[in-house]
Amino acid sequence: MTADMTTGGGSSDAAAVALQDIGKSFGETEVLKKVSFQARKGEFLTLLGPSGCGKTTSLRIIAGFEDATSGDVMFGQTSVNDLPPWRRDIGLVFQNYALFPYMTAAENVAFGLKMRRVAKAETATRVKAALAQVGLAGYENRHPRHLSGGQRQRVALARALVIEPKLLLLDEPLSNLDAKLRGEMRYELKNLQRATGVTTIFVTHDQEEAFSLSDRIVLMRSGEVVQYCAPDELWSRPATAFAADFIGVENLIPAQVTAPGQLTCAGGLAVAPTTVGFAQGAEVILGLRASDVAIQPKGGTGLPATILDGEYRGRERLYRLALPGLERPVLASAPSDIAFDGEVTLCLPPEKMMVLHDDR
Amino acid sequence: MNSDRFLLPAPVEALLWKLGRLLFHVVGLAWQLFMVAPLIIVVVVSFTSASYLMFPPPGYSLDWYREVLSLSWIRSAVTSSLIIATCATLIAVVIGVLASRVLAKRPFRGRGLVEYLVLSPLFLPGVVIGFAIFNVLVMIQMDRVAMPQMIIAHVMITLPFVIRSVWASMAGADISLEEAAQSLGATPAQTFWHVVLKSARPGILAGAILAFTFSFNDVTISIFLTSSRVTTLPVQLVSHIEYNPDPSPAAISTLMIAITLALFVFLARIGGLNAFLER
Repeated sequence: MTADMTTGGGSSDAAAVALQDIGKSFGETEVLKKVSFQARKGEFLTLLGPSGCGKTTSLRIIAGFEDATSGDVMFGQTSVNDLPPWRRDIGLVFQNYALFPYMTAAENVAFGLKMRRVAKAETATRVKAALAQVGLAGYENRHPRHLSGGQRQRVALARALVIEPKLLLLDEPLSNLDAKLRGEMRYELKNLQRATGVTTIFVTHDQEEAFSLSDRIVLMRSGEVVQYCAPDELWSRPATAFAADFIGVENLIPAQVTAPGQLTCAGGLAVAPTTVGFAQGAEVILGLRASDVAIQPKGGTGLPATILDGEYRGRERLYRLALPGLERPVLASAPSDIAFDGEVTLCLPPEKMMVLHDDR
Repeated sequence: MNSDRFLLPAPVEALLWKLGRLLFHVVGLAWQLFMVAPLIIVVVVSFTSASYLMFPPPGYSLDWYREVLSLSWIRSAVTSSLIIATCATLIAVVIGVLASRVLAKRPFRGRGLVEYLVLSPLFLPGVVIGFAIFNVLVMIQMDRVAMPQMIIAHVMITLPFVIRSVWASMAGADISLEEAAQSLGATPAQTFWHVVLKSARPGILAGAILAFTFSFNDVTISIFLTSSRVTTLPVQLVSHIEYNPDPSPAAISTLMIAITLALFVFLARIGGLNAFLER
């Protein structure tokens, strides 16, 4: 991953697909508000967000099934606003796969080639190769109803990829699979995308999928882009309290900036993270991961705290602790082989603290 | 747990269960007998050698078929019945598929009214429709154009059957299939042909079968529109029964049953009936 991958913008001439100030309203309801992002050629871009954030609508606008109320969808240097879906050259995988039930796997995969009037012999070779690529050689004559969920998923992928699309759009394609299969398919999806080098836009509400698959992530909320960056940046520097909450930062504590480098949490506890970009007196949210809060036996340097309860999580244990000076309990995780109880000492490292705009 | 619940002793319960199942089978069998028995009697009687109706027949022969086939009107009646039913079905299927597509799509203003209009022949008595069509035809002096008026009337009355079954299968169709086709490069016309029609095929076939049989067997509407030149088999059969107390109507009835059955066998052969029954 190159350094400029981590920046939001990037140079626009390399963009394979770009949304520019896309707005979309259904009647009175505004579902997209000036959404802009772009995917470079060969990039794996993920639209991440809770349901209703506008990620699927964005995808449908790129595919051409919805018209944007304002703004432009660009493929390379040209606007495709007026291009109907069947001329956009897009491979699309639906959440429910949308395989044609009355066609065999091979016929499903051949459909796009048939529409493009590709010669019969070439179609046969390409269909065979596409099915082999997704590990379904020998399943050519099966109907979708005789395939498992994972196999249907692969047929849908082969069908979308065999037309060698300019762009691959994936609408929550893993959400209908069970947990184990989801992990496997995630791995295969990434390999397939690398092998074909196709520019991919992936829609999901699952942050884990987003982190493991993406080159960049567009985090969305209520029709707006909250953060647009590489996965490691989203992980280490969520832009707002919403972003931090969504990617699973456990401790989000209301606080106020009292002086540069000084915060006072609700309840009175004073901490000292960096507060660059925040004015004195600003109401903020202090974010801290449970894994960054260190628990020590009573007596060390740190803050005295009382364990309220602990939840066994396998490798680790997640504790809720009462800390004088904080209104709500603090969450902290520690290896599960040592069980803490009663009075302990907590260490809240200032360098791990995130100071966040409260946008929740 | 439910100590206060009243329970029959297990053997009694088992016995009741068995009796219930027996009753179920008996009723089912009786119902089938009741449906089929009269038809079987008609078919058997048509092969009688006697010149009067009697069951069981005193002897068997093909006399009445010879008699029926020598009737002056039989050939033209069968031919026009088949032509009318085929044409009416084809037209009704084309119109019905298009209408269903519109109805199954997003709601539009006045859709409720359109629904009632296209389905109204289902609720109205056939005699009323026949009488109404007859009056209109007389008014516009079209009552001399025999065959087309019959076909138009039959399209009118069979259309609801087609729309009802095609609409049902289209309304349940997955919209993402159409989008998948379009993303793969299918134009709306190609999508309609390869996806919408294919998905609705069972409904279309079911509707066509209903339409054809209804048109082929209709009396109430056709009776207003028959002329000396064009008449249908069921209409002729009705008037024939009126004046002939002999077994020849039984032979005609048997012929009609045979034609309808042949249609179903043909559809089963081309696999249509399978698709119809599967869903």
